[in-house]
Amino acid sequence: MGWWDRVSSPSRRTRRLPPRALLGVAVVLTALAIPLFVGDRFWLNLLTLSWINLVAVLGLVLLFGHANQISFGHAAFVGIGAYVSGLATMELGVSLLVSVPLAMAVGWVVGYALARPVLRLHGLALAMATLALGELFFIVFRELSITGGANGLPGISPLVFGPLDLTAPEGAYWGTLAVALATAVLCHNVIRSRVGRCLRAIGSAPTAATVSGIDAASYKAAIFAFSTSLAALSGALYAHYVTFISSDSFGLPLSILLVIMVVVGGVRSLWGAAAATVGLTILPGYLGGYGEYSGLIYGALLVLVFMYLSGGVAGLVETVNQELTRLSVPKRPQRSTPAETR
Amino acid sequence: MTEALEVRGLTVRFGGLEALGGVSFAVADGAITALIGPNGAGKTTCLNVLSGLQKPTAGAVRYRGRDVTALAPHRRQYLGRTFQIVAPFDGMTVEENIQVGIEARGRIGLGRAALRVGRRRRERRSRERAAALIERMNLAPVASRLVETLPLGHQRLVEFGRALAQDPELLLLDEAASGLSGGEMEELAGQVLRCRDEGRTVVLIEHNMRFVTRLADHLLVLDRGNLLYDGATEAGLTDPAVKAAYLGSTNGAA
Amino acid sequence: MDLQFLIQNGVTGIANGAVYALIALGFTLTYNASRVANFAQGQFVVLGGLIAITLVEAGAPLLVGAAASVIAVSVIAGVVYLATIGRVPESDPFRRIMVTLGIALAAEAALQIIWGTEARRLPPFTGDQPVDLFGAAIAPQALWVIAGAIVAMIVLNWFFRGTRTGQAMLAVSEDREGAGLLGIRVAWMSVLAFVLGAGLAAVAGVMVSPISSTVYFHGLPLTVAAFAAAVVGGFGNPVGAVVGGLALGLLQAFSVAWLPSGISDAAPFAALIAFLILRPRGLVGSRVLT
Repeated sequence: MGWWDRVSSPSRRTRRLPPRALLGVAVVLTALAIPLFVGDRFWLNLLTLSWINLVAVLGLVLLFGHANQISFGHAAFVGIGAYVSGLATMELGVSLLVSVPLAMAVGWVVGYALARPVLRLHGLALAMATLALGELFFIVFRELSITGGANGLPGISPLVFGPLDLTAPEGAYWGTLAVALATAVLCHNVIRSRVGRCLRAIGSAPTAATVSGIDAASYKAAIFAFSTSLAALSGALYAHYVTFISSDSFGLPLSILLVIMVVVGGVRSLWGAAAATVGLTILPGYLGGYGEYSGLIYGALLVLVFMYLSGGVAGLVETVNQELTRLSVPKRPQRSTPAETR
Repeated sequence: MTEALEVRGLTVRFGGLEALGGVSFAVADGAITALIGPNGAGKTTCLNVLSGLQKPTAGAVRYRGRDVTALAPHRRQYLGRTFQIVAPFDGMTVEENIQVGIEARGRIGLGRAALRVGRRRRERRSRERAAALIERMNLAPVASRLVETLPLGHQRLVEFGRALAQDPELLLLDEAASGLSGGEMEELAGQVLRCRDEGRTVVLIEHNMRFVTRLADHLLVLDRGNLLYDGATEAGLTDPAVKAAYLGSTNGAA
Repeated sequence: MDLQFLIQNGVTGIANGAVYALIALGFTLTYNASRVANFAQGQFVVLGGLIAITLVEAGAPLLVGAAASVIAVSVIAGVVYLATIGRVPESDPFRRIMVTLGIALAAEAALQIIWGTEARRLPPFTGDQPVDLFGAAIAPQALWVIAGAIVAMIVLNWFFRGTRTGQAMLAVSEDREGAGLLGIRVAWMSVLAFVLGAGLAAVAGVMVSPISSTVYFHGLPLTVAAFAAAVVGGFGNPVGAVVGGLALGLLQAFSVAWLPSGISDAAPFAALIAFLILRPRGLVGSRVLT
């Protein structure tokens, strides 16, 4: 009786898809193998950017999808990570082995400091407060001379972690994929743990959660800081991957894009978020950049997703799954899974 | 008879409205107390103050001699509560809902959770304790169902179980029988009596007078923020002032 | 700091404030009566300006172009509402917000595609000659803006007090269920309120175009300014929207004068956060955020 059984009889009675773990492993192996089949730098680059984005998106899944704390300002923390790590390597001459963890630490601290006052707000107020916060940081990035502002900061150290040189396209791909996978594993662990349950409790019924003994303010601050440190990690990786950053990259459009990726993915789902992130990073690249039309497409996407598909990719998959189960099983699948199968 | 809960001069004002005006009472240890009154009498407000969700404008709440008036809700480990409009944790199963009640307290442990430190042991213990409670609430057949898919009666039981999961000395129930069928009400009454047998103190807000007479030995009647009656249940329900308060309002129960 | 400086920036501030007040007023009216926080409000402002500019450049007289623009924006807003926001249940405010956000994004892109990236202006209503006020040089358009805002508020006041539709809308804002029980068609009031908010935004767009020009990307900062004005004044409170708008306009005018140029952009955002966290009920008081 091991993890195998638990995985093959998940708490929701859907049995059409093969055990999710198998499918997951297959997907991960495919992702790892891609550079062996695809030599085209163009595609490798897009996928690498997807993994970099995914790191930030996964944190947001926990914060927004599970704990239900909306943030329209996460681009600020991506920017913090990019500038801290970039500048640390340039000005202080430290290696990425120091600067990247430093960036994450700064992301955590700033996030935690802001979380306590800001997360006392809910709903529209929280949305606007985080939006304003993001814009404030955007202006700071733009105006500070040390960041180079909109003109940018060229010559950032490339993706070299001590002896590990990841500057080649394949190296960068595998390196960022590894980071994204590690992040996904951490997030998955949190989701399946008691912390995850408490976060979802806070997200679905905050008053009841408080009365049940959950220190909501502390939980929210902790998960916010967790997500901002991941955003900072994402920013740091981005900076060293492209070796040139400009404050233009870290504004509201990025914040909104991150939220879109979470929502289109199905809000609570890590897999859905991954699919949405890859799709929404690659598609613009494939279409040669949408140019002016990108806003139109993202906007329309947002509208349609929220009007009709509030479950996102994961919800869609779940619906399809349930439909297949319903159609294939003649009798009502009535199986309780109390302590016996766990 | 020792006093578990003591409330003195409790006043709650919102803007221009006075929800509670200088209410004082005591609840005996191990007793079942019913808090009744017409709609808008301030009953839920009272419970909110007792659970720490509402800060009183004036007055004090003492639990076993300790002043808990300003204590944050999540720190009231002695207390468990259900809500008038049932508030289970949607998106989670019955089992997970109960688990939250068990696991909520203590350090967050984000790092430990992310790294799966000690996870197997903790999960097993959490599930075992949850299973016991689910068994007790007769919810075993639906333990793995998402709580929002259950009918109201089951949801109220889940909420009850979640409150019980904190092993509370004091249980606050806000219209826990509201919307339940006769059989479900019986079930609930049985659960409440069992709590009393375990030595827990219960305060329940109720509109259903049969429920009240069946369970409560102590009656508190609120009307428009004032305490109208404080004493034995039977006498209270036949008290003329109490009757007048109910008949005078649009809600004429009893 | 002399009188001239004060008057100069004061009038600029009040003129900016008048614009913010109008936009915030539209936002507030929409929110109160249709329970929609319209993230696309700023885009309606820009659209109003751009349509008027196009008509005037095609030869229409200023007043005709302005009026036609306001009507056009109102109609477009109504159609958009019925097609999208109106179909998302009120019980899910987050979904509604995200839909308006999507509309804002799409609208901004559409504005860029149709009208391009260069800034355009409506010609000032009565020319460019600065008016002398106690030694300070005031652009006449600023005075038009202030006058226009006052007129708009007078008209609104008449609408809400003196017409049945307006009173119905007020009733819906105060008590949705009660109004429904009285036989008021709440759903139609929601559409109307949305249209009204957009119309006000268009008026603001027409009036401010000669001063600050009109470009596709002005939308979002205006939306944030509207929201900031509403919060600072008192969210959900029409008087608050006006007071907040004026306060924000003054804040902006004086911070431009005192702070290095780019940083003054931060003023509305800083004010918004400060008030949300420290004084959510705003300057005048709010029933929504206490």
